[in-house]
Amino acid sequence: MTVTPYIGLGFVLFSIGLFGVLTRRNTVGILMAIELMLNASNIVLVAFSRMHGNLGGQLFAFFTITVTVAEVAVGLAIVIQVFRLKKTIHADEITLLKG
Amino acid sequence: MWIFWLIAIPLVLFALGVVLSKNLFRSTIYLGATLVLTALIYLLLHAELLGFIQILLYTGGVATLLVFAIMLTQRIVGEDITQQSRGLVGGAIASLAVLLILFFFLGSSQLDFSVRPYPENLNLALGKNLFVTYVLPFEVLSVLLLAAIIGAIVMARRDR
Repeated sequence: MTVTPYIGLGFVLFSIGLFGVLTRRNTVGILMAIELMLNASNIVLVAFSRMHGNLGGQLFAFFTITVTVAEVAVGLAIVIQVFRLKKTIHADEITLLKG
Repeated sequence: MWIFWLIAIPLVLFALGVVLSKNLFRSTIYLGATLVLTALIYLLLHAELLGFIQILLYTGGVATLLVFAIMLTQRIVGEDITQQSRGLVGGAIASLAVLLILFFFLGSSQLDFSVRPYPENLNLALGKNLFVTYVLPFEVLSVLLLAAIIGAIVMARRDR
């Protein structure tokens, strides 16, 4: 058994996530696409961990999942706050920092 | 190997649904399905603990949070949030280019991709790694989670 298909699957998912980040206008949609990319990187980490017979990759994926959950919680809180302020969650229209 | 394709093909289709669906709520459901199928991939790779953590944290936590956020923003505006995409052609070209580069590196690498055996008693080894070798990052993570909880509450509070 080789891990090549698993790594390829991770690459495909990463590209799909990148496509979502580039094309979505909705901030929540962009967050979801970022989730997809992080998920893809986790698959590749676990596949390399299996390939080397070394548990470091699995543990790193474990840490990544935790950081991602924290990121989503704070990100969604920011989205809700910006939404209250601007009445929109379209990334193009949120120009609070534009001078 | 057939069981891998049985999981991987729906996984890619659901992922496409996440980035292409017009309805934001439907996107979230597809994302939940993607994350559950990823957990099955982890099970295939003998990462059982990680698979169950994935279902608990991602599907239980992240998907629920996303549904909450969508419901809240819909209630404030009082209309369904549809989402448009822009620059579909440019996005497709860029992501396909990244995909091609990644597969080029995969194809031209000299590594031996065959599986080497995990240590005997996987869970014992995992626990030792987590609580002895990597105990400092583990503790830092717990502080990070606390900071994230407080940050989320402070950010999302209505009156300040």
